[in-house]
Amino acid sequence: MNDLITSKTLPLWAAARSIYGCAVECLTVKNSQSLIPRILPSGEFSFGTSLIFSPDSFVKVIEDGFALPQVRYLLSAPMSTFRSVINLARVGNAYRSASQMKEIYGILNGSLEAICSYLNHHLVAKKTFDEETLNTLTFEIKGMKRKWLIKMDDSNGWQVVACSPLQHASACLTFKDIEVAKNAALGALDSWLSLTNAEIILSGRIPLLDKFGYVSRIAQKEVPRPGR
Amino acid sequence: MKRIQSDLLFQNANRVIPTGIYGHMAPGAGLPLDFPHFCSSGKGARFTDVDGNEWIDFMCGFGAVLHGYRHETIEQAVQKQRESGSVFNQPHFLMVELAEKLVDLVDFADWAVFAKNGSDLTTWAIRVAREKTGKEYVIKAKGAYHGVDAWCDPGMGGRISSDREFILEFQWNNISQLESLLENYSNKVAALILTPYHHASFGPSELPSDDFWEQVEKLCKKYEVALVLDDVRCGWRLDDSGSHNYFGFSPDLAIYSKAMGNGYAISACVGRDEFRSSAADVFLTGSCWNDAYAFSAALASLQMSKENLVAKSVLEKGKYFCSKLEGIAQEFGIKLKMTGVPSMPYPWIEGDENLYQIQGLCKFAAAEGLYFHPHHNWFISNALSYEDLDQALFIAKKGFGKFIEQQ
Repeated sequence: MNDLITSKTLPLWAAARSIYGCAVECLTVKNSQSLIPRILPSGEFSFGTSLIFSPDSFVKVIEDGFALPQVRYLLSAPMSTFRSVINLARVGNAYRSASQMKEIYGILNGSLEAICSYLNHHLVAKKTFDEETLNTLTFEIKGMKRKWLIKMDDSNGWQVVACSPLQHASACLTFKDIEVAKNAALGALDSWLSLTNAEIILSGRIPLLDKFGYVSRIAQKEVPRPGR
Repeated sequence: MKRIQSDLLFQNANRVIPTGIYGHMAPGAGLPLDFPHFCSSGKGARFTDVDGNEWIDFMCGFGAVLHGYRHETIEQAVQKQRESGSVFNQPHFLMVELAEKLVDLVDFADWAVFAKNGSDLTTWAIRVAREKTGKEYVIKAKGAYHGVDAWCDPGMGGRISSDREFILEFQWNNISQLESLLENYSNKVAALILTPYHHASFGPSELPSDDFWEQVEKLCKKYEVALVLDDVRCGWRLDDSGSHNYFGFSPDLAIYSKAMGNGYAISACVGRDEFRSSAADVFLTGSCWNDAYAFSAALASLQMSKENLVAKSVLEKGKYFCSKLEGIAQEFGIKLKMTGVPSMPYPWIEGDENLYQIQGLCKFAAAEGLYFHPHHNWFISNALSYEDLDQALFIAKKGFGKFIEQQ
């Protein structure tokens, strides 16, 4: 799998992980599983077992909301393909609407998944954390129990993992409220200003968040996102 | 603390300056909701922010001010020079006077050159070492700061892979690791660049082990490596003739800046005679580097340091302050250790690797008007009187108490 993620395929791979990350928050477990992404040796992107797109079609799916999947799978497994298509559309709607709590959680989770893909596969991003030994970061919304933890371990690389409300990481980024969290995840927040007007509060090992911010800006520039 | 103008100004800054404020003074590097973003004036050991709040200062313009803000003697020297001018077609004659002063002050120095910032000359010095030795590699301590150039900057952007192709690192105080590098890169290392002691940000400072400098000197001689001392931050705060005297060693080249001009931008590199012809062959210039105001400020500052034994004074004041502050912290059950040298202590709390506690402590201190930085070594200004220090300790006690209450 890793061999298939190159500098050329990484933006779309991160987008695929982001879609799955959003699905995990917005959809049922079964439905989110229909969007587990893979890159196939052919260079195509698959969701679940049967929804497969060429890279060009996948970009169209993200940007326009619709593209034809590869017909051969559509015909051989129409039901599971159909389920994946519906779920993909639901995720697209979550990005476009971004109004319900679970949709915002989804976008935030999706955005962290995309950044983790960059941390794992982008040459510059990987190097950025080379010398760090304390590699856990939490993201939280003030007044809410829900937290997101991203961490690095040797076997799995960087990943978004479940996090208890009491868990303390090496560094923590707190959003002032759900609206700020949404804007941050959609790349619509001025990070420098938000630091000084308390929309975002950083604590703990600041260099980790600094590096994370740098990688997130690289990802934000490169990863296609619905509605862009 | 009142905070309206600071935030308004930052909004304006953010529109016209990338990130609003960049580098080590960027809000995110300190306490963005507690420290002011902009200052308006300073006198002695206090400064006033744009909202009119007065702060007792423990950062001294991140080390650039040693004798206190707007020190009369220095301001008078600069004022006198203003009557004649600053930058001309040829250097002002004060340049020679300052070079003579440094050669006289610094025991191993046979010559001096000038620029504006530490970076200008740390980078130039390693090029001089390369020119002299004909070798490519440079060794530095892991985590040490030597400036903003691509071979050493702590940032992330704008790098290419070749930037650090010839830079090697070892862990501070790990002599065997250093020796291995020198052995593995035998006859390829031009320079070893080090600060007098390890004063990295976001972690406790580390003093050299007992025989560190002796071993370093031996290794440099054995492997014919130029020993470059980056004395930019420590210079004139440990010893009035260069920090190598404080630790008892002798480098080949040394770079000074920060305190040297007491707030007027100037840096200097001094060196041994053996490096003179190599120094002549490495191009060096800058449009405003021959700035007579800065020369006059540096001359006055160095003179004051020597006459008033300022390094000894700030070390003593720092020692007094640090031991008292540690004691106050202890009263509240906080295991605070002021690491490094007392004139530029770094506050470290045992078990606080992630820095949450020191950030909390400095926030409460800031609310009381004390500029205690949570991530960078502090600087003791010679303008701080013992009364000022006692006042700061009294306020710190109040702040620490509130911090504990909140926990």
